[in-house]
Amino acid sequence: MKIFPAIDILDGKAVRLSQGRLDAVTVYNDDPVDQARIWADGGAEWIHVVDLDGAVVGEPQNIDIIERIAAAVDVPIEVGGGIRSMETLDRLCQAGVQRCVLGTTLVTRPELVAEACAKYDGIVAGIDARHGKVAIEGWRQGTEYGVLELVRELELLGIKRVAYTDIAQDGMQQGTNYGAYRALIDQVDIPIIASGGVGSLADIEDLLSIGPRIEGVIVGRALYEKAFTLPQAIAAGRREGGA
Amino acid sequence: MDIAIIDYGVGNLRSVQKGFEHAGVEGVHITDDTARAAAADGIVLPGVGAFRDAARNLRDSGMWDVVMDRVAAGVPLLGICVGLQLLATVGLEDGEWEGLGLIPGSCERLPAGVKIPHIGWNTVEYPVASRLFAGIDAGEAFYFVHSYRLVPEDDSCIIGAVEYGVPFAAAVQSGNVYAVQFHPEKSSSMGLRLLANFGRIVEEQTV
Repeated sequence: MKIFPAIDILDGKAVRLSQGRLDAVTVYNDDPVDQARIWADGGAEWIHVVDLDGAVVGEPQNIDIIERIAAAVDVPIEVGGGIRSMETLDRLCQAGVQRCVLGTTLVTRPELVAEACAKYDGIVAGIDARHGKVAIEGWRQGTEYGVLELVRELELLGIKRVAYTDIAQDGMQQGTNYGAYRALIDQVDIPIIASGGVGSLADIEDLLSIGPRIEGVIVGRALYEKAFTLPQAIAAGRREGGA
Repeated sequence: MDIAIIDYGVGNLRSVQKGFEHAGVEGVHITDDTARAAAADGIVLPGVGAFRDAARNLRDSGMWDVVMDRVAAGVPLLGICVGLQLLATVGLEDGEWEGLGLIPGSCERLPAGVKIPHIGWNTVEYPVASRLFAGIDAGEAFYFVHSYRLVPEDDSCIIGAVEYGVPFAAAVQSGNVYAVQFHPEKSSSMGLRLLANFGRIVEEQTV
């Protein structure tokens, strides 16, 4: 199971939010590129970047920073936040991004999802949910979509992996929504990247125990708050019995 | 009764399996083991994605021969989506690819002028009565996601018709071979009824 250290960019800085609230911001590094180097030096196999400004506006606002991150580190990067058109996908891929995470588009424009999956291998469905219902528009808008219902449709559109964030757990370091991940992999075929709530190495081990179809886990605040180090997290993700 | 959902690396197998479960059909399992698939009383051939990749995977997995042998032996088959398209003699998606040929015809792109892929609910009519649609009224909607359609040489195999740009085959049958272009596992209660109907066809064949 791979560890995806996160860099969320807001106003040009690397920040964490609590439960996705833009009024609950903690700045951890004024320079996201420097933060990417720190994760790369810590042995990161992937870096998960979210353009929070982009998620709010519906169009990436920090492509220059993302491009600099891609140039600064050898680690593949996964980027989400405001990706709503093929032009944007093309720009990000040209900027050196390996995987693009679609969010709102999953619900509003299934044709674009199908087209994107046909064109690029690295399309990830970023599903953010509150109480099992999918939220869109930078988490500000709820939908009637159940997570399972949406994932089943996305499988048909060609989506190959899902990054599933439980909003209620995110930024809280109080454990992941382990049961939701376990239930979902039993119902669908595609692998899942878990996100939201990791506070300890035990949380990583719990996810690992679900099995290899939990392909990775995105870790944010716990790393910034030094609950454990990135090398420790990577080692925990590689323990016996896991992926 | 034992129904095998063929795992050849293509498709939403668990969704299909859960669909059968919700439809009350027992004994449905997912397998990538050719011997287990060959021993089944009924075969489900799912599929998502491109014709070429699906055809290649089916061949490489050894399941191509299993499907052909068992169909010849009279075992009921249900193809879903790309699993329907693979029944054609030839697939015309990024080139020309050999299909199973169980339904003579070709798999062709949907016509220009409509949004592709065809995504969403669409209503199905029945040119002839069939056991697969038993208890399902004409005009019920099913859930489609596809860019290509099956064009049979002989229209008499069409048991379900739909229109999207052009009228085309939403469902076909030739003897013990059944297939649907839509996703019954994503088509609420009518889709589940169809899965239950297939379960009944297998059951009657078995006893």
